[in-house]
Amino acid sequence: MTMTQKVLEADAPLTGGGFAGRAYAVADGDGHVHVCGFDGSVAARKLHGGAILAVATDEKSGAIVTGGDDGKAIRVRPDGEPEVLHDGRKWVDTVAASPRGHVAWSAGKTVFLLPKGADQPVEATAPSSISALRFSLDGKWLGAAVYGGAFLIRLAKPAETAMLSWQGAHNAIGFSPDGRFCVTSMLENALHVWRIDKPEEKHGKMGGYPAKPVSYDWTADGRYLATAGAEVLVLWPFFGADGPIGQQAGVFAAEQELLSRTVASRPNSQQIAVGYVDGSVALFDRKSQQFQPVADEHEAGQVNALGFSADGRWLGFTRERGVAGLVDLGKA
Amino acid sequence: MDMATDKTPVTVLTGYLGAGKTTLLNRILTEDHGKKYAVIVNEFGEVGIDNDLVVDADEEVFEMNNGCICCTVRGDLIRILSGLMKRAGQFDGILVETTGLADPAPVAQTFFVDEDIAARTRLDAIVTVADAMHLTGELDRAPEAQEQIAFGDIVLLNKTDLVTEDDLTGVEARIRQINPTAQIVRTTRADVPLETILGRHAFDLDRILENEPDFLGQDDHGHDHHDHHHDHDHHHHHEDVNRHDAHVSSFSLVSEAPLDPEKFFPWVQTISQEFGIDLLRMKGILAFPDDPKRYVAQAVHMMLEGDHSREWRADEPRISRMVFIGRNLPRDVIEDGFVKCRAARPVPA
Repeated sequence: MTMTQKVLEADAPLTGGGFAGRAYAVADGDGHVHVCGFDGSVAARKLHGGAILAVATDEKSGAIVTGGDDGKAIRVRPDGEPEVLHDGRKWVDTVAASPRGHVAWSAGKTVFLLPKGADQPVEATAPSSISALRFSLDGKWLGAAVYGGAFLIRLAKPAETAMLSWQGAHNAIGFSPDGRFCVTSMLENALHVWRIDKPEEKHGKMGGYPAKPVSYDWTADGRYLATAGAEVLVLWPFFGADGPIGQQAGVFAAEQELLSRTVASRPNSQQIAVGYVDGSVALFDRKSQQFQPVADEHEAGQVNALGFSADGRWLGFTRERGVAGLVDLGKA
Repeated sequence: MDMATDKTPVTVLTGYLGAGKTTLLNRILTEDHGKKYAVIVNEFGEVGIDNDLVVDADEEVFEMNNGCICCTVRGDLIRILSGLMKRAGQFDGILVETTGLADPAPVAQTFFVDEDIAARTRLDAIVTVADAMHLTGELDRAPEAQEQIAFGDIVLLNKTDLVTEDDLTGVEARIRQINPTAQIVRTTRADVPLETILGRHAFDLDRILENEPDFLGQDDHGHDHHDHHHDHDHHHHHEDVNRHDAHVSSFSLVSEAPLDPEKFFPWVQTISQEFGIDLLRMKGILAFPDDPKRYVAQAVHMMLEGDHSREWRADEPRISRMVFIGRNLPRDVIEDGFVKCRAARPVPA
C-alpha cells in the first residue's frame, strides 16, 4: 500500500530536492529551501537572493547545501544558522555533499572542496566551466562534468587531479557504488563510461537515447545502471570486469510511452522509481518486470528530482513548476 | 515571456569592436520600457539595473562529438539559459552580447542543438551593430566582421551622423552584397525603437523570407539576376588558401517550376553536409507540385530545419526561392543541383 502526499505547492519553479534528517528538502527558484517533514510539516527558509541553482543534502547529518545565482554557496545544518561558504561574483552552478561530511561547489571553472571539519576550501581549476559535481561513494574522488570529459580530484590529496577524456560536452556525472567506473551524460544524448583504473583503453559510449540522459542511478545491488532519457527504462549491466563496455542494455517498456526525465533506485530492493515528463512517477520492479504508478497526477511539468530515503521507505520528488511530493512505501 | 509560444525570446547582439553594442545595451537596460530583460554580457559594464538582470558569460565554444568542426555550441550559454529558466518570475526577453571578434554561429546553433534550451527559449533574431564609418575597412580586413554581417537579421548601421549620404549608400550596398535579406536600420547613437530589434521572430520558419523587402521586392520572373557576386575586390583573395580570409557573399536561386520533394530533400541535405562549413545561413521557400502549402527551410552551417507553413495565397505565384550566404560558395554547383530538383512536367494524356 502506497500513500502519496503532495507536500508542497510553491509559487516558484522547483530546482531540486534531497533527504536531510527526517525530512525532504526542496529548493526553489526564489531562493527558498522548503523542509518537508515526514509528518506533513513544511518550514520554508529564504537563503538566496535569486534562484537556487543546485541543492545537495546529507541525510545522516541533515546538512543542506545550496548554490545560487546570487553568487553564494550556503550550508544549513539542523538547528544551526545558515553558513555562507562562498560569496562571489559568478553564479554557484553546482553543489555536492558527501556522506562523509565533505562539501563541494563550483563557480565557472573553479571547484571548491571543503573537507570535513576544514575552515577554508581547497580550489581547483577545471578545463571548462562545470556542469555537475558528485562525490564517489568509495570516498576517493570528487568528480566534475566538464567539456571534454570528467575532471576528477583525489580527496586524499586535492592537488592531484585526473582527466577522463572524451570529446564533447558532458553535463552530469556519477560513480558506480564500487568506485570502479565513472559515468557522464553528454549533450549528444548519450552516456560515457570509463574504468577509472584504465580510462584510456577501457571506456565507451552508451547511446541510443532520444533525450539527454542526465539522470541515472545504480541499482541497490550495484549490478545495473538505470537511466532516464528514453520512453523505456534502460538498464546497463555493471557486473562484468568492464561493466557495460561492449555489452547491450536491457530495455523495459511501460504500457504508456512517455519520456522519462529522472530515475532513482530504491535502497535494499529491486525497485527503481521513474519520473516522467508529464509529472507522473512509477515504480519498476526488476523481479516482476512490472511498472506500478505511485504518483499519477499529470501536472506542474516534468519530474526533475527524484530520490529515496536511505532506509528505502520514503520516495521524494519535485515537479519543475512548483509541486513536491513524498510517497510512503513502507519498509523496503 | 512570449505568450504565443510560452518560450522566452532570445536576441543575439553581435558586431565588430567599437560598433556600439554597449551603447545599445545600456539603452535597453536603463530605458523605462516596463519590461524585464536578462542580459548576458562578456564583462559587467557600469550600468544601472532596476528590473533587469545582467549575467557574466565566458564565451565557451564547445564542439560536438560528431567530428564536424562547424557543429559548435556555446556551453556557457546552455548553462546560463538553464539557470535563468529556474528563476521565479520569467523574463520578457533575454539578450546575448557576443564579443567583438566572436563568430555568431555557435550562439545560433545552441538553439538548434540543445533540446532543453529549444523547449524553453527561442532564438528571436541576430542583431548586428555596425559602425558606418569603419565598416568598409573592417570588412576588407576582418573575416569576423564579414561573418557578423552575414548572420544578421537586422543590421544596425550606427554612427551615421559621422559620414555622408554617399558613404552610407556605399556601405549599405556592401552590406547587401554579403547579406541581401537583412533589414538595414540607420541609427546615430544606437537609438532605435526597441521593437525594431526585439520580438522579430526572424528564426520562426513561418516568417522565413517574409520580412525581407529587398528580396520580395525584386522582379519575381527572372532567373539569374539576383547576382550579388559582382563585387570588384575579392579576386585577389583567391590565392590565399586560408579559408578565414575567404570572402563572404550571397546569391539567390529562383524556380518558377515546382520542385520535386523526392529530389529536393536529398539535395538540400547533401548541400548542407558538403558545404556546411562555409554555408553561414540559408533560407528558402519552396513550392512542391499539388501541395497547397509552402515549404520553408533554413540552415545555419549544417544545422538544417524545415516544415510546411501556411497555404499559398490564390494571388501568389508559386515560386521557389532560396538565399545562400556563405564563404565562397560554388554558386554554379549549387544552382545546377537546384535546377535539377525541378519536378518533371506532367505528361499530357
